[in-house]
Amino acid sequence: MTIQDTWGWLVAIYLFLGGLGAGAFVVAAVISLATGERFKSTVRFGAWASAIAIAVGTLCLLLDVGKPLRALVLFRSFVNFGSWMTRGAWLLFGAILFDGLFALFWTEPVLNWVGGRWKFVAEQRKVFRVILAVLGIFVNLGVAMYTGVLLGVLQFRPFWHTWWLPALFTASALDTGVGLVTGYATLRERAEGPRTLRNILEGCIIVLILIEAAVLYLYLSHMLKASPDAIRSAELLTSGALRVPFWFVVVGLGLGVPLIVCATQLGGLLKQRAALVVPLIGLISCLIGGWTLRYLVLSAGLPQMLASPALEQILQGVKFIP
Amino acid sequence: MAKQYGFWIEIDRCVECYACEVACKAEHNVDLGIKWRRVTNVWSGSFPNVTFKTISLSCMHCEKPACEAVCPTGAIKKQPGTGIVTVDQTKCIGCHYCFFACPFGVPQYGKDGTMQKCNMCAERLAKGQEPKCVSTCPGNALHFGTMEELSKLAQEKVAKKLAASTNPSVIISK
Repeated sequence: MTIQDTWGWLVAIYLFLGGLGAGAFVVAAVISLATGERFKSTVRFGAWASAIAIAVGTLCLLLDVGKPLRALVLFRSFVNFGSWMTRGAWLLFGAILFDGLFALFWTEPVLNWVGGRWKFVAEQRKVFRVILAVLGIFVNLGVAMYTGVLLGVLQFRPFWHTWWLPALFTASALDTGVGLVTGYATLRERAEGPRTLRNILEGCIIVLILIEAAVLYLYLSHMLKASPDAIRSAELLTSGALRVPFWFVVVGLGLGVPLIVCATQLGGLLKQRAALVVPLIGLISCLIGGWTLRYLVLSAGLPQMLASPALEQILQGVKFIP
Repeated sequence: MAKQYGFWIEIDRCVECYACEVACKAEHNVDLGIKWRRVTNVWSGSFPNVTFKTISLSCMHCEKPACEAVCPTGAIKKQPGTGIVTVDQTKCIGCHYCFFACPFGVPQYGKDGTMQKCNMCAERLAKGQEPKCVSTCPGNALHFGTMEELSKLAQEKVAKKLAASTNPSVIISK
């Protein structure tokens, strides 16, 4: 079986956590901008989750490279700004700072301690929060898209070389991010009574899942009509060696289960007690689906068999596998 | 145009002896499993009319190297005087991005985790010698020179410059 395995599960975790963190931040920031302090524990959770997810994801990327310690020295190792690897490294660095700072501004003990020393921080906390939320949304949307662009710019990997890929990863990032925050909101239901918040978030998940499913469909159908190499890659997922995890985990667990869970929750089909287990199942399957999507897209990224038509002609039209 | 060194491979002179591959490995003392130069059989046809041709390829030292463009550290550089694409292993972080960018799957990674590949025997060139693979080839199937010289030499044969958007510095003839 030929699949791409130079970038494996560790890079898939990184792409997944980068997206998850970015998505969680966007949701937390939007909730904070729309409702102020009303759902502060949900906002705080989203902010911390995003900072930690992106930091752990970056750690996974570092563990995957040959020289992790050398890579850690950002200003020496990421200097070619024409490379998306460089742009991404700095973007991740910025996102960790932004998300961490935003999280600190929603953590009372820290805020009180800092406010005791510098009065203006405590007095102007709302302004700081709004500024961090607005700028952070842009930085984190950048991170979500970047996880796709990193692969999308590689022109000799036909299955990745398309704008559908950043679109798909961004949709999945928002989908998993909203899912994570909704899961927390569900657990905190009694404390803050955010039933209305949950309803809105569950509605968002349904819309995002439908968007993600549409993008996934358009991406694959585009690839199934593209170059022979792209078709080979796409067929690995739809009918080839990776078809079982693709249909069962990515489509079934990642999209189908959360969709059904949110629909039943919104429809009020389940009573309070059962309702706690069901959203948890929805959340876990959504996260598993999100990681598997990254892993399978990586695995299916086969090289272009022959970059040179001239070589092909000389070798009597045969395919050359490096 | 600045000087660009390259390779010319005459497929009909190659006897698939792997001497170039072995000479390269010995010259650069590379780790087990790593091949800066690779001898590959390219199969064609279907049963019962199956045939193959043997071709020896290394880094193509492209005019516009895709690996150089994506390298975050700036470890990969195209040398202005010779056109050789080199990698500085004290800068490389082993992120594998160049492996995915290269259309020919050239970049490989040794035990130390950094990328390595053909450097056209730059140290031999400095002494006025040809790359080890070329001087070793018993059938004179491998040639080395500037792209100008090589295209003149290859004119008599049905030769094609290896084409890709990165513009490799390699000529192949039947």
